[in-house]
Amino acid sequence: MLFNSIDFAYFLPIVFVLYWLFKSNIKIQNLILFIASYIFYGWWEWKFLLLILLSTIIDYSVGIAIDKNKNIKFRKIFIVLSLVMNLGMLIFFKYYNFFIENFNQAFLFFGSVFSIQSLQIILPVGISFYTFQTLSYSIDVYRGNLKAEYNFIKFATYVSFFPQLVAGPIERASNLLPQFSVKREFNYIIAVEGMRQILWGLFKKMVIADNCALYANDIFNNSNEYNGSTLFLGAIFFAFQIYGDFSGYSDIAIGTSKLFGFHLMKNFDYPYFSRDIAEFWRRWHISLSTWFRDYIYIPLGGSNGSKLFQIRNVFIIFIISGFWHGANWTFIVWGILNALFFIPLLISKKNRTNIEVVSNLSLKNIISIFMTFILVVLAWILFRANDFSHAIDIYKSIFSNNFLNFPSYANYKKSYSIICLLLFLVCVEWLNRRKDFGLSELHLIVKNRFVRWFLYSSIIFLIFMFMETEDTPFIYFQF
Amino acid sequence: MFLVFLLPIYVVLVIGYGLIMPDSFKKNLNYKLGSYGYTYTRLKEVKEKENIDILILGSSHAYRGYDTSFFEYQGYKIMNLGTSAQTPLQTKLLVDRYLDVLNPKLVIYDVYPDSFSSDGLESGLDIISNDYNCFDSFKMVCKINHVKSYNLFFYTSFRDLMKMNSNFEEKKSKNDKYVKGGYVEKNLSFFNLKKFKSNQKHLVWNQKQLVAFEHIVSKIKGKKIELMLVQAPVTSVFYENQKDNEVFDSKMKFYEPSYINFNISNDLNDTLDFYDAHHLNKNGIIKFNNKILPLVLNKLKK
Repeated sequence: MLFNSIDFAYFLPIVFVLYWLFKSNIKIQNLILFIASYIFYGWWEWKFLLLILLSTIIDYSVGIAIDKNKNIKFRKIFIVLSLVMNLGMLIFFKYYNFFIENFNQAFLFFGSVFSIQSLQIILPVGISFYTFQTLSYSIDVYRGNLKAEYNFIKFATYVSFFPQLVAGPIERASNLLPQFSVKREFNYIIAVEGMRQILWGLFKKMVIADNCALYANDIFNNSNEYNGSTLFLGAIFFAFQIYGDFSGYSDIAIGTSKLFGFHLMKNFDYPYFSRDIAEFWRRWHISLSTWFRDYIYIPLGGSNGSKLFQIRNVFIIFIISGFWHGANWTFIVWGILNALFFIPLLISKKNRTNIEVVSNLSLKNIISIFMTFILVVLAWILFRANDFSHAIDIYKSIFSNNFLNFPSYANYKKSYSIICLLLFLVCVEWLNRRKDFGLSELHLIVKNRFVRWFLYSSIIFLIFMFMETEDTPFIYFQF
Repeated sequence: MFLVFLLPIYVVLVIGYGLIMPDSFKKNLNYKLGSYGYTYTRLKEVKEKENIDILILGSSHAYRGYDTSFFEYQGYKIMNLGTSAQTPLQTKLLVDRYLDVLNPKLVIYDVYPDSFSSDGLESGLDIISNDYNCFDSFKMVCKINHVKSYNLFFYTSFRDLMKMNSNFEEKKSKNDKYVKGGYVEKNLSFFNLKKFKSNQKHLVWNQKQLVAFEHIVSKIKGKKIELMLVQAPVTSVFYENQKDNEVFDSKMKFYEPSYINFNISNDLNDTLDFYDAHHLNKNGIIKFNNKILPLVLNKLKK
């Protein structure tokens, strides 16, 4: 079920009403969320519910087994079991064909005709997200940072919690799981805040992302017809598409959770206002970046040790991050490129210079933000390109003389409207860059209820005026 | 409370936005007065007619396929109410709106499979833009149930209310000529078969369209008006591209046993008698209209 679908518009109020009807019974509330989450996921393909259930049963059992066993050897066996099962599923569904194809090509390169048949595998939506979520639980229990959960429904609801099931934020068990044990009180102010966040998320997805997608897709799919400046324009459209799509999803997820009395972690913190790549990665897909930091980077040694050691760790993290996004060399090279952007900051010890959000628009800040954005956009080309040679062709065109020509995009007049909407987005987000999301404190700025309602109505109007009327799934579903 | 507030504000915003903003900013508000196919002129003309002999309904196959001057030459008062991509949802609106006044002796209803699987949006927007709006139009808008149809309905209702289109004159098209009675004549050109791209598709019945179609047929028959259910000829490549033609024909015969599909034993030439894959050119229209005339005469004699 998509957040931006009619189905969800019916689904959410029904679950909401049912859930709060049983506000005095936390067990029934959890059960309602569990059933709702399975319906939400099964709406797409019920067969893959078995996969979530399997992942849930494995980590539920592993958690208890680790908790009950004080013998380190046994605990290790169980955590390895969890890693093998979870990563095994992920590798099979997401990376099997990638490995097989590369394996076959390697054999072909050495003159052998030996080849293994690739399989027609459907990638289960959100597998990378819930696999990482369950893994973090088992690792935390293994490390002793978290008590194992003995209530199956609570644990299963944590794994499948529908607002964040298919595209994050990837919640740590230490944050989300205890919330299923605490009595939830309906709080009108938080519920309204949740609605505001959902509205802003829908605006980012349905207006910004889906409209930028039209231009980005057209330019990338016909890249050989366009000059360098147009291709770069296409990459900028893609940058806003992926931001609107993914941060929009996160806003809807966090806002929906608030309606049920849950608090999810922030996943995006105005990344395009970053002044360097290190800051960008602290603000983009925070739940994944911190997951990699806590479960891979720090165990690898993190920023301790020699510079060479640190550089190695940075490369490992970015390559894994790239590969997490998709089974394609473009994602791996995208990771490497980001590592290359990051390493000069690491060497010069400037990777933690910009911790706080940018305070003003000084010339220095403007230049830094602009340069960072350019680097990010250049990297997104690899993310969006069909394959590596497609990306290379685009780079060649951008870094050639024809970049100096005016964009030749035939439909550019139609794109004026989306450019205006992008300016609106940037202004709203700039003014709220210290807040949780674009509209988070509108009720404090605009005291008059009717003026505020008028503003909400205007955003709803913009959504209906600019929404795509065909189904437009979220990009991150494929990861 | 907010929802009560939202609806009127939304309508006001649609109207204000529609009046102020340029077309390139109106993605889901597609207002086109005097659109392709002379819908505005045709719907203006129909309001001046009454007690006619023949009424023609259908899509562009109808308004481009039945030459009103040819039938008028035979001595019949005729009105062609075909509009671009017209589906039963729009035909129902037009029938409910004009049938009583036009009071025809015979209705020729040109049908084709696509119109029964379509959501009716394209034609709905055409009619909302070019005719007045009332509760029946709103019912059609609700049946289409698309954001574009709602937006356009609110906007055009306001324009109707303010009589903003009263001085409008539809521009003449370079290649198309409007002929009194609703027919649109195209300059002679020929279909290039090489341009045709095969894209075979199955017929998927849209239940809303079927319900509207049943309403139309029963209304016409209920008024004791002769009904000719016809499928006008299209190129053989286009026709063969449509799967389930037999299923469609049998369904139409169920509603009207005298239904005729002119694509069966069609002696027209794909290149010489058509200007595109599914529209007759002048040559084809002469042949087709001469072929249908005796059947019309026969029906009118009844």
